[in-house]
Amino acid sequence: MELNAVDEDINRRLAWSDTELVVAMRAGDAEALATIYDRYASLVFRLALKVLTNTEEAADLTQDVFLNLWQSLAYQPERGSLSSFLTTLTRSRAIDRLRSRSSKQRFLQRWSQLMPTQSASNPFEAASLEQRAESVRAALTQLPDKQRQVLELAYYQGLSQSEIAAHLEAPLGTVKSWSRQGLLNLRHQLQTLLE
Amino acid sequence: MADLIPPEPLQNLLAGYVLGDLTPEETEVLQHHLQQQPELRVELQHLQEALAAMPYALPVVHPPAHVRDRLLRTIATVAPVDSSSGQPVVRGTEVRSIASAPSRRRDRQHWPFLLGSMAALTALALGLDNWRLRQDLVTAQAEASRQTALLRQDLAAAETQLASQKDLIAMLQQPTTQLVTLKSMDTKAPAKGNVVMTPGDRAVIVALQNLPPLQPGQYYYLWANEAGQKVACGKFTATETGEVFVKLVLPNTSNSKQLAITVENSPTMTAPQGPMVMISKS
Repeated sequence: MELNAVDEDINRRLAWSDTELVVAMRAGDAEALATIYDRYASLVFRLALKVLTNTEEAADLTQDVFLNLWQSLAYQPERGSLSSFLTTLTRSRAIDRLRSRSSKQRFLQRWSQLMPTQSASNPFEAASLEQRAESVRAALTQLPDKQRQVLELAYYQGLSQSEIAAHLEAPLGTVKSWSRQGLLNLRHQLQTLLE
Repeated sequence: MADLIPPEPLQNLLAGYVLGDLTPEETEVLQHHLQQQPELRVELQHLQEALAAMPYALPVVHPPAHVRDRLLRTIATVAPVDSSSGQPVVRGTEVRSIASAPSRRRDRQHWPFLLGSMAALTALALGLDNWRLRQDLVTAQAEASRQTALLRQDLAAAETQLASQKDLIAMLQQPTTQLVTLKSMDTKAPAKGNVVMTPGDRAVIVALQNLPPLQPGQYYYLWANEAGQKVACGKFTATETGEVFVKLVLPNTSNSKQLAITVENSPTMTAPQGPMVMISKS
């Protein structure tokens, strides 16, 4: 009887929105964090693995990211989706690790943090994880090769525009234009997901 | 400066802002526009969300199951941060082998920069003094939350240490448990201690004192000599006073009593490269 009640409790959480789960988690509900983990651990891990190319380090970082969500108030639902908070945090930490690994003490160029908006509604979250993956894959294939390549070099390897320019043997201005156009195109392709 | 630029170049600046590649001149132009058209922030967020969605396109892989177990075990001992600040907790001996402990060190280095850049960027986006004040408040609150989190992690570390002590007692009750004594390589250095191991059991307990201090990014590694091959048994760090009390779980059971400890510069070593600081007494 009690076990059934627990199962029902967990099943109910599966239907909760990210924001509802975050609110429950902040109230000390460990199952809510477990549900968030089940929803996003794969996304966080695949990004960590892509940047770090090491399973152990990627697993360690995955734990770190969810522990951070549990222990800090850094995520604020009105500032953007939980998904983008998790990927932004994962990417930034993964690239920090990458740099400390290669002992390069360069100035860290960063992507901007989440921007606040007036609207708390988030159509992005209305799509299932599978729909999001499908949409983003489709959107990326629509980008011209150079634009996609430059975005991926910057995003996954944390290369600066001038490093990418050297890597691709292209003028800096051209690389900047590719990456900005790439992002604008990506955003345009993801229109229905974002608005 | 008073003139507004057409939508298309403006989009370009918004993208450059999210990508972090604006020149100082472009930053100034964008700041001007954001002051005139606060609604542009919505577009900025869409661009940020689009960029942050890129990892969805990566092939689906799942983290190993132990990550979830470890996470849930860790949070069971650490309450989530709420806005109230915690009372000081007596500092426990740090056990860096647990997953949460190293992350704390990173957080200390990472947070000021992250918060600093966040404050700078949001101030730029809005160009409003009251936003700055709010950011100061958010920063202060985040700092308070961070301090609470650190104290809670200390508590978690102390609890992990208690668990290690219980493991040690359980091991000492086993008739086959063996003690391997380690001595310092530098005869003048006072490092000493023991490794407790039970044949057939992958868990070992390492208890050492007076270890030389590590530089940031360095780890101690325990190695077992298995038929001439050095096998990594795990990595750990020491307290500020050079004390170690950790439980390591070996990848495989080991019967080797020939052990060594080295200092390595990477958390992912598979063969020793750094200087040996301790070795088992023959």
